[in-house]
Amino acid sequence: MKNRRNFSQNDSKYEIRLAGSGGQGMILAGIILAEAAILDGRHAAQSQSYGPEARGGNSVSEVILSGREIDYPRALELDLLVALTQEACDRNLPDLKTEGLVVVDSDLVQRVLWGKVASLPFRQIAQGVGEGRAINMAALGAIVSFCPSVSRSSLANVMGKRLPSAKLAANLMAFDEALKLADNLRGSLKSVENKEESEI
Amino acid sequence: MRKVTRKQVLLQGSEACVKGALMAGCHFFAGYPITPASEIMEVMARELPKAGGVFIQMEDEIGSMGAVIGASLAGAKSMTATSGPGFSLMQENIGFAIMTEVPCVIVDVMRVGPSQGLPTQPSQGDVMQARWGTHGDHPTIALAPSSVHEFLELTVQAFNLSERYRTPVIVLVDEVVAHMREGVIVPAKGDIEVEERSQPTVPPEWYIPYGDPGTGVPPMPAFGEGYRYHVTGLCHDVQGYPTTRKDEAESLISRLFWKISKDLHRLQWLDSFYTEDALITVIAYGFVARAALPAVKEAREKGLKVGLVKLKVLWPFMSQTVTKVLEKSQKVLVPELNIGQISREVKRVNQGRCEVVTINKVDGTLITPREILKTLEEIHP
Amino acid sequence: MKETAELVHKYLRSTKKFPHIWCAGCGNGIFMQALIRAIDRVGYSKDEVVLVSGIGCSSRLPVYVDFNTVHTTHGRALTFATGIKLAKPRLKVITIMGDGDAIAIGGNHLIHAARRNVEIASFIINNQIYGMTGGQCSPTTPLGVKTTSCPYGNLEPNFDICRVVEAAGAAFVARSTVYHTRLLDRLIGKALKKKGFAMVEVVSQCVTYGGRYLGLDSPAEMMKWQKDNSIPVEKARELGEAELEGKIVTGVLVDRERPTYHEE
Repeated sequence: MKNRRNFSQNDSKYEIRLAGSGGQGMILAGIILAEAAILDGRHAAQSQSYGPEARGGNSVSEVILSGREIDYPRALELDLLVALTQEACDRNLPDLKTEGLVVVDSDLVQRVLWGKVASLPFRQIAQGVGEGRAINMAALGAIVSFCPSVSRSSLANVMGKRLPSAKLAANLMAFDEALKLADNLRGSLKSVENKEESEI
Repeated sequence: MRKVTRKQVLLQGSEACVKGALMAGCHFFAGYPITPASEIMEVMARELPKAGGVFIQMEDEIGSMGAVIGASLAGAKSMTATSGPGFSLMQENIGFAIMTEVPCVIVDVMRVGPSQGLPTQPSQGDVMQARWGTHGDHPTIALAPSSVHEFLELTVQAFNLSERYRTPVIVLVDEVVAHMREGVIVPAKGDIEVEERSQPTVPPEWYIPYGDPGTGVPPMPAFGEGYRYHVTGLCHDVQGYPTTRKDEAESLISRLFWKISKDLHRLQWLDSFYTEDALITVIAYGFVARAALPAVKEAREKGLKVGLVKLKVLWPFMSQTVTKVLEKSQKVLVPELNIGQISREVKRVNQGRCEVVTINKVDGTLITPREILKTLEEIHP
Repeated sequence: MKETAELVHKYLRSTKKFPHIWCAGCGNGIFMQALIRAIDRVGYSKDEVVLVSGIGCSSRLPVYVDFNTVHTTHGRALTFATGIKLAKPRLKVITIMGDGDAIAIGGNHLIHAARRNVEIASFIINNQIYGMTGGQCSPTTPLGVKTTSCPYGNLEPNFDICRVVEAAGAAFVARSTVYHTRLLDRLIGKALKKKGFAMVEVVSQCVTYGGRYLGLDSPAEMMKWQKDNSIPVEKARELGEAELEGKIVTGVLVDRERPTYHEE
């Protein structure tokens, strides 16, 4: 992968929320994201909220990235929302900032009432690599493309540390495939953004 | 280009707590599963045996607290971690540890109460329980970390204070701080000062287990080291034997208070921001202080003269610090995730000097920077 | 057996302000003597012995003897003892509890201590009543007996302490009365030496409250009752349930090898 931008120049806060249902691995994805950002020399805070269920229910993981020390480690206005269920999408959309981006699974989330949307087939990608549970790592792949604050190499590095070694290869495949699709999509997103701006 | 020069590691609050405990020399942990404190027990179960310590899961929190006190009597630095319902169960034995002067650390990860409440949601509702949860008049030491890094640091300090004053020390942490992960620069072993309980310098036959050596804190040998003495939760004389003599009971209870209150000036642990010329000062602790800081910064950008004092010690109440704040400010804002617990103390110390405004929440959600900013704008003169 | 005076001088705390709190004729003193004799016989040093008690008349025992002693909260002696033993395994940890202390308020700790098989020698002084608080019924008060808290007669069947502890997994379970002092000496000695959790139920008498409610007037009569109602376990094995009704089965009830908590 080529280094698309120099992320460390970005000093400001970047807020990400990963939302899905319990068991989709949202919290682990958040932890990996935060740890990778720290490897990249940035400040990171990860937090979560969850219900009493071990499976199902709403699961939300937040990651705040910044070049400076983080005063308030929770999201105030999301830059990026990843939603892997319809309910997660509906619930969390109001917390996006106006120019924020929502990334959804194209199968699991059908309806997104938002301008800037990236709909990607994370579940299909995961099933395609023979590891249905890699849906969370596929979502992380897309984040690399959209988020200015985290690098592919650090994420892959942390995945190697945090994931069971037998599952690593499949997860990395899903991760990279989603990253590639997201990169292709990024251009068209920009135009949407520009169009909106010009309309305003 | 800004770079973080020292190396950070991503730690969950609970992991940082365990790291702090191990650095402080914790050798014994007894606990019972409870949301949202179980992670501390789980990390302890994994890490403590590797460090040569002893971990045990007890049958309930009453038993956990008993085992912790027993282990400390045998010479081990010991701790437990729990949440509201378990903290309630521990209260009788915490009182025993205060009365018998047995050092130990209790971490209470606060969730919304009363009763089962909201087990996975943050709260600061146990501040008064930490102070008055066990019966009778007694002193209390309680610390409140606001970040993962502080959770590590204050767990070390909890052990130090508990050894220095021979008393249980409570770490009151809200659910968010225990569960969130932040980059932490873990201090090197040598950078941390670790205190140990004082040991008798006299032979056993000269040892007076509950006498006052001048500091208010009697030396404490471990069981099995030749200093045989009696430990009882009854009022006791200097030899440790039960007494009903009023002079002996009075001098025991007063010494329990005095050994800590004489050092109040050493227990004013705070961080302050923009307080020099502040007309309004926010007094906050725990996670809420994290919400207050960006609110205060933004208010400053808008030209409001506001400041923040973050309390790290909740008990004994930092009245010296708070008095200074109250003397300098026109108004004080106390945001808390409870119906108003530390604000009562602020009002008590205030004695009508300032206007004390509060923000209170008990619905399981956090107080946001926006809410604090809004109130600051509303009350700014 | 050594001269009593010699043992008194060696083991009682000369600095403690005697007299003790027990009533004349109470069984606690008999047990204390037996315990001291057993510790002396086993040969433990005073420094390595830790005596832990809960709350109640018998739990006042530790203050009188010159060991490392802790008088804990009601029902919790075994939890403190567990902490002490695990933190410093070389210590010889002994607990002394009453019947209310050990099996009412502390019942859960008792079964879990037995299950874990932590090496603790525990003694439950069973006088079938709450003596210190004024004669209320306990989980071992016989059915139908009137006490201050069951003035119309006790409605609740009582616990068989030994069976509970056996079922929970203790390595050693035994029973004696304070009348059978030689047996008591022997059983305490065995419990002290046992690797694992050992429990001896010591049937005793409360002369102030128990006697009044059980219809026995004097300490002597109460101890005679212990004598007349006891059956050695060897003999009891030949008898049926009906014949054992209301009897005190004495001796070693369980003695088995199980890995202790430390060995696991």
